[in-house]
Amino acid sequence: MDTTSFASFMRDDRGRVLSALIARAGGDFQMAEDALSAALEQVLREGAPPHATLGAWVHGVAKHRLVDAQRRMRMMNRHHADLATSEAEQGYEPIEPEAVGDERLRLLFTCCHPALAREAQVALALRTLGGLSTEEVARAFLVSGPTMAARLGRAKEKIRAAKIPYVVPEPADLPGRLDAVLQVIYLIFNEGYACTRGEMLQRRDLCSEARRLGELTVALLPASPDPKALLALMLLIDARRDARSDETGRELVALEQQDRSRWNQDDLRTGDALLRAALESGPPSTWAIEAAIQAVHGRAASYAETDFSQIAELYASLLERCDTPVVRLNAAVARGWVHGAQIGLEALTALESELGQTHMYWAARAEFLHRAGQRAEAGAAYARAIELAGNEAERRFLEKRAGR
Amino acid sequence: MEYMLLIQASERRFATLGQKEMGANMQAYGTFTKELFQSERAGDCAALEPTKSATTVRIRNEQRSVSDGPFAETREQLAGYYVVNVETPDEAYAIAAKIPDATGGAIEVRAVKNVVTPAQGAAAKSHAAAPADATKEYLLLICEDEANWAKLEPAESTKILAEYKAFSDEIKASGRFVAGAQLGPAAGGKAVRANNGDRTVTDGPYAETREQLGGYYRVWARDLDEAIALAARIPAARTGCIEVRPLMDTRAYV
Repeated sequence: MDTTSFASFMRDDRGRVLSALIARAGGDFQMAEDALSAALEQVLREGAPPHATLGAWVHGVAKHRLVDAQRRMRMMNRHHADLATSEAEQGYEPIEPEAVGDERLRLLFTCCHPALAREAQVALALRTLGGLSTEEVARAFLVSGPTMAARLGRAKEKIRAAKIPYVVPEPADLPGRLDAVLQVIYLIFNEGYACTRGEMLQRRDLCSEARRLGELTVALLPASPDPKALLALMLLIDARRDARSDETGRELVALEQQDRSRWNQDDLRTGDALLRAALESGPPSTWAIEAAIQAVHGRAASYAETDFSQIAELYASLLERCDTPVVRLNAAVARGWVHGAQIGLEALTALESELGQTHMYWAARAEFLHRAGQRAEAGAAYARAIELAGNEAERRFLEKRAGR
Repeated sequence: MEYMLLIQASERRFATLGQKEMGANMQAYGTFTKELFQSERAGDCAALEPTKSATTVRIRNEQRSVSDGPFAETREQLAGYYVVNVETPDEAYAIAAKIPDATGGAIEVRAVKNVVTPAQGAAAKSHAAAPADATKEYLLLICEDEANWAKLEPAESTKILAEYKAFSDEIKASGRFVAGAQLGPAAGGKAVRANNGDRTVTDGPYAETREQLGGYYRVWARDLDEAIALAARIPAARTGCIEVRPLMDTRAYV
């Protein structure tokens, strides 16, 4: 197997093959992962026949491995009920494309089961659906590889020992379970769009995976407005991906300075259409309000022409539904845009006790101080923001703003 | 009178055991359990999967909340239990001291106030009576602040007890029920430890938590989702919480 086709398998097919294997293993994540890595090793060593597509071949080999492992398990544990794997099922079969979507959704719902801690949910979704290595997941969470391996191992062990079902929940349970799934997809997107730590500005692979998962939830729950609103939110933000960094790809460009001709018009159009569809089918969810805020930015021809009073209103209604420190910060900033820097500063000061340890707070404060002409205070606030920022590009961006 | 003997053992130590030591440990439990059955003192008993497979269920404002854990910071965790039928408390302590983990760990001895149904040899019988659509056993631990009960108006507590009875009747009818018990006050509990044939009985243990173990249901379920749905219907889910612990399949040893 050459490295290009191997890389494209890891990117495009690994998650699909893994979800199909997990289904076949009766929800045993570890057994499925072991079978897949054994199969990859074998195919790397022995190669695949020239006529076979790599994904289907690896899948076939992995199924064989899985059947072997299940047989060994049965022998070891004669008391366990026989696993429903007959000899007839062992032939090489290509992946059925129509079944794959369902498998991935089942995998997503299992990863997002409320009996797993939220951090474990995201990590497991990134590892299994996103196809990230344990090391990469560890980096996204700022923990060591062995720590993440232990965390993932624990989550998989719980799925097995507590028998967390490998299913999409019943329609009656869906509303209660959907939110965790949407939250996890959005966390994956955010980790890709604005890496919390390190040198890189964006992780496109994570953004694409989140968008794919978002599309999947829309396709499988066509009547539900929330998946549409979340996908709209992601598309409306992601439309700015090319304008958000400079030509070196390493420096952050603020919304105010972005070259709007570089915004992706397809994403903006699709995002708008999805948002409209979400709003037609019921009262707006927090996802829809957040998407609407991004849509207002998306429609403005320039930063100065942005309808900030509408944005401030949207933040106010978001605040009514979802009173979190970050929403409060954004609402305060929006008020500052509409009513002037002094009002913005007053609104921010009220939040200092809870947000004073974040770079976002100090960056927003510095911005208003700068506009109010309080240069010395602005410089001190920038210094504090730079101190607290975790991402290198973010830090350089703040340094540049401070140096104006 | 009936007592529940709760095995408090260190999972960390358990995890370091080699395959041979693990096998020896299971054999020791197998032998102890068989002897207990022969003495006709044994009621229900079970071994639990480690606490990392635990799930907590609460109902607040009529909304179900499900979370991972709990993960107590304590040195020892609930690893299993025996319910025994004896003449005197001392007999219960003597049995507790013979449980393999009384050496190294501790056995918490709690008086049983009310057995939902006498589950003589329930562990041995439960698999034969398993419903066709349920393949996993779970222990639903009822955790509640005992002080809450004392504060209730008589009419309210009567209503809640009726709810418990209705729940018990329904899970018996559906074949989900295996065993269950309501425990006496935690303050009357004792901790039994064994060391080279000596046994010590002390008051307590007094948990640092506000909520105490008030009883349990042992049930069959299809999977964790069904176990959570059952747990959510126990009245204490609204005031305290229900800890859902999967049972280990120990039929190979007993």
